[in-house]
This record gives sequence, structure tokens and C-alpha cells, in this order.
Amino acid sequence: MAHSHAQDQNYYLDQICSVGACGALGIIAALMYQTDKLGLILAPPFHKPVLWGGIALIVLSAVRFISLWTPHRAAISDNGHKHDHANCDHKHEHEHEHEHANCDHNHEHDHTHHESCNDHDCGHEHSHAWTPAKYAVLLLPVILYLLELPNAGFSADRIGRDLVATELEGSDRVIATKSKLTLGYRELADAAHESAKRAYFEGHIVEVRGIYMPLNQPQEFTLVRLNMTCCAADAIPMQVRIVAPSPIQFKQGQWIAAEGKIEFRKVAGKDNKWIAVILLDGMDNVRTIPPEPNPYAY
Amino acid sequence: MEAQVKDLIVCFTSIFYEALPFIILGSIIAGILEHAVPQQWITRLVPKWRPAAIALSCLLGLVFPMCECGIVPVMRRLLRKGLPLSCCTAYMMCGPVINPVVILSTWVAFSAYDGTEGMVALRLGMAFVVGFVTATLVDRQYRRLGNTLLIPSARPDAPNDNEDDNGERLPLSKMLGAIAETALHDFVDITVFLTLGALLASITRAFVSQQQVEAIGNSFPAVSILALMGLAILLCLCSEADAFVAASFSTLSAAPKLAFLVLGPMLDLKLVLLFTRVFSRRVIITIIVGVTVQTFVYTLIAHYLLPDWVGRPHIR
Repeated sequence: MAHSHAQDQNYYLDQICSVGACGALGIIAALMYQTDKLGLILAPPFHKPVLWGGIALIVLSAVRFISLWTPHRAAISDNGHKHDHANCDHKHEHEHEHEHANCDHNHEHDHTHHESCNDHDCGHEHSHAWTPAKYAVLLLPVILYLLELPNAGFSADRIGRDLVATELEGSDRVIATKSKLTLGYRELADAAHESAKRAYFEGHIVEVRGIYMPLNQPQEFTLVRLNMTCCAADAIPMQVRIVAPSPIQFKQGQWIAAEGKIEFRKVAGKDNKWIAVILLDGMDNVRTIPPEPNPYAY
Repeated sequence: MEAQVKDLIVCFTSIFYEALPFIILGSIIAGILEHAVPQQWITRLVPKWRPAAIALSCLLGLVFPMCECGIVPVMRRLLRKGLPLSCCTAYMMCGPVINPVVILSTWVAFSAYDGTEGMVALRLGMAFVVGFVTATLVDRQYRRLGNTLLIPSARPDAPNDNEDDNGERLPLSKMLGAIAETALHDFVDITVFLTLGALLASITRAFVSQQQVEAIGNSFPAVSILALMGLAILLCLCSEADAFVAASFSTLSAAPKLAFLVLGPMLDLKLVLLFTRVFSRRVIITIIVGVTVQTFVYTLIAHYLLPDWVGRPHIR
């Protein structure tokens, strides 16, 4: 198979685009880590791998650029009808003389070309095809970063859409007030699963911060944070029900801090399912707060 | 509308950046395999008796845990080095499920429910059977049709890249250049499809809510299993996280959750696009049909034979 200068030009264009796009992605990955944007979309254990992945991409791009550039320069300085293929160790049938960078000899023979020489998927044929569309796709995350996106977590509408309304049984129990504790959404959810923990935590005062979502009952609302295991795509809402002494309303999606006494109430129609409820002593115990930088509960 | 677009971008970037380091790692391993591992070296390690080789490949994730995205470039290079297609399929299907990280995450996610052990054991056992049978089907096809089942760049008849024309190994500097070239090639090739898959999954998620799925899932068992299988394909979750999402479907019975956990790591929108970088259309169809039909049948059987095995919260 003979190939032309135009094809070789395409090959180098493709390789340079590949190096450029991968290098840009590597830099963006490192910047996502550096600017803490990863906190909006990934759980902390995945932040460092993105940084190291970005660095690896930058190094790979640099190595590839050097290995591509060095023989290319040599070929340009040589006579005009020679060209070279970085890293190849194979044979070509060409209408003209080739210089193969990694084999130090010239060929004029049958074609047994393979992938590591030229970057394409054809195995034994080569097209030197340059496909700008794939680099356009690859640059999508770079463009999003330059547009400073994402700049927040999921919207309140999206979080509200995934909430499952839970009906609770009524309660007229009198619960003795205990000391103040610092508890997160996960601890409250875990405590609801075990009777011993329920007995221990019930009556303690706790402050909960989260995103306000209204409920059907005017005195009740729920505060939500997202529980992310790996990435935002797997985030599931965690809720704490708040019961106020009188009707109360905020704007959906508003960040709220509420302080009150913990009570565990049974889910209506389920013998063994309980959830934590915070009973507000007065309307002073609930207030709006600025959005927290990280909407997730770890 | 603006909020919906921003939600879509959050979802897309989260899937993309989570998979990115694993694709890079997979591409670097692929580059090293291509240029530093001798040709036919892999074939000497594979047992001669094919069922044993497939079964061993199903369990390889216990020793070499890889996520479903990172596996793709590695497998393509291993195929070129002579790994049988059936073994590759078995590892690609089972590796993301039968590995220590996923076993642990499934255990933790269902630890608040009765029968945690049952859920973990059934997920692993069912994944093994589904992977083994699918790989055996692919093996039968391979015996008839050979390397045409692979795209050209994954075919094992490609010449060796780690030696020069005289059969001598490349010097280190040139080998590094060659590894970088192969790694970047594979990275670009796979990441384009990862980007499209993540975008597709994010668009789909914008229209499907957890409430809708639970509403469908609470109808007939067969319908609920199909609904959760569909969700697994659309959500494109990684296998370390999917158990937590499955456990959050609090109103669903165990069988649909199990279908979600078995099918998700083997088949989703993103993976189908990545498969096109290794397999021919025929193999992809065999995999899609093989894993979906088996998952549906096995979980339906489990639903009727083991109605109360798992999934109810602890009564304490």
C-alpha cells in the first residue's frame, strides 16, 4: 500500500491533535483538583486519582511529543522526499524512500504495517485518517472547565425529584431532654436501624444543616443532604424530618439550620422501619444559613 | 431549563472524572503490555482446557481488581497478545463484580438489612454464572468465525511491536516513546466513547427519577426486575457504588435489586460504546442478549424460590 505526503501530513496532524487534547485534559484534571471543583462531583477518595491521572496524561503527552518531534525534525532537515515513522519497526511498500526513526534503515518493500507505528484501528491497513470530531468530543470537559462548570451541586428541583415521601406514625410520647450532641445525617440514619442506638440518642439535642424541602403538613419539613459514594451520579438523598411547634415555610432549596430534640418515629405501615425526627422547641431554633460549599454528607 | 442543564453537567462531569483515572491507568497498562510483554507470553499462562480457562478468568478480578472502564483498553491489548476472546469476555463481565472492593461495598450497603450475606453471595454467584455462560457462547462463536469477531486493532495476528526488524528489543528511550504512543492512542479511542456514554447517561437521568422507577418496580415481579435492569443500563454507575443506590430503593423487593447489581457492571450505555472499541457487532449482540436474558431469568427464579432471603431491614 502506497501512501502519500497528504496522508503523512494527516498522520502528524492526528498525532499533534492527540498530544494537544490529552495534554489539555491532563491539565484540566489537575486544575479540577487544584481548584477543589472535584468536591462538587466526586467523593474525596477519588480526588487524588484524578490529580495523578492528570499528571500521567501530561507526562505521556510530553513523552509522545518529544518522540514525535525529534525524528520529524530530522526528516524535515533531510531531503524533501524522505519521511519517518516514529517508533515503527515494520515494512512499507512506498513509491519513495522512507526513513524509519526506530529502525535506522530505509525500505522499499511490501507493506506489513501495524498499529503502534501509525495511530489507527486498521491493523494491517492504514488510512492516516485525521478525525477532528473525536478531538471535539474529547475537548468537551475542557470547554466546560473554561466555562467554570460545574459551579454547584444538583439543583433543589433535582434533589426534590428523587425524594420519596415517607408517612410517619403519630407520636405523643414525652421524651426527656438530654445533652447536646454533634451528629451527622449518616449517624442519625444508622441510629434509626437499631433499637439500642435509638434509645441512646433519643432526647439528645442536635443541630442539623441541610436543604429545605416542604412536606404536606405545614408544621413539618425535611432537611436533605446528598450521600455520595463515588460520584454525584450515585448520590442519594438523606433526609431528616423536622417538626416545628407552629406552621413554617421557607423557599424550596434554601439552606436551613435547625436545632431540636431527637425522636425516632416509626414509618406508617412498616413494623421495622424508623426514621429520625428533630422536634423544635420554638421557632427561634430554625434559621436560614448561607449555602454550604459542599452539599454532600460524608 | 438552566438548572436542568447544570444538573446534566454535574452528572456528566461526575461520571467522566470518576472513570478518567482508571482509563488512564488502563491505557498505560495497555501500552506496557503492547511493547514490554513478549508475544504469546499470555497464552502460555492460560489453561488449555477452555472451561477451566473461562472459569479462572471469571475469578481473575479477585487478584487483579479493575473497574469496568479501565478493563477495556487492557483487554484489547491482551487480546492482541493472544488471550482467548472467551477469557477476555469472562473477565470483562465478572471482573467488575467479583473483586474485593465490590464485595466489601455490597456488604456495607446491605449491612442494615437481613440476609446481607445472601445478597453478597447471590450477586457474586449469579455474576459468575452469567459471565461463564456468556463467555462460553462467545467461545462457540469464535470457534466458527475466528478473529472476525474482533475489530482489527484487537486481533491477535498483529505483528509484535516490542522488537525491531532484527528481532532485537527496542532501546528503552524508543520503547518509552512507543508506550506513550500506544497509551495515548488507546486513551483517545476509549475516552471519546466514555464522553459520549457519560453524556447519554446524564441526558437519560435528567428524565428518570428514583420515584418513577420505584413506582414501576412495585408492580409485578417480572416488571420490577425489568425496570431495575433498564435503570442499571441507563445509570452507568460504577460497580463500587451501585450497591448503595440499590439499597436506597427501600420499597423494592430483593430480586429487582439483585438484577440491578448483577447487570449494571456488565452492561450499560457507556460500556456498550466502549465495547465497540474491542468487539465486532456480533459479539456485542451476544453479550447484550446473553447477560440480559440470563439476569432476568435467574433473578426471577430467585424471586420465587427464595422469596424472603434478603432485603428486609433488621428487626432489632
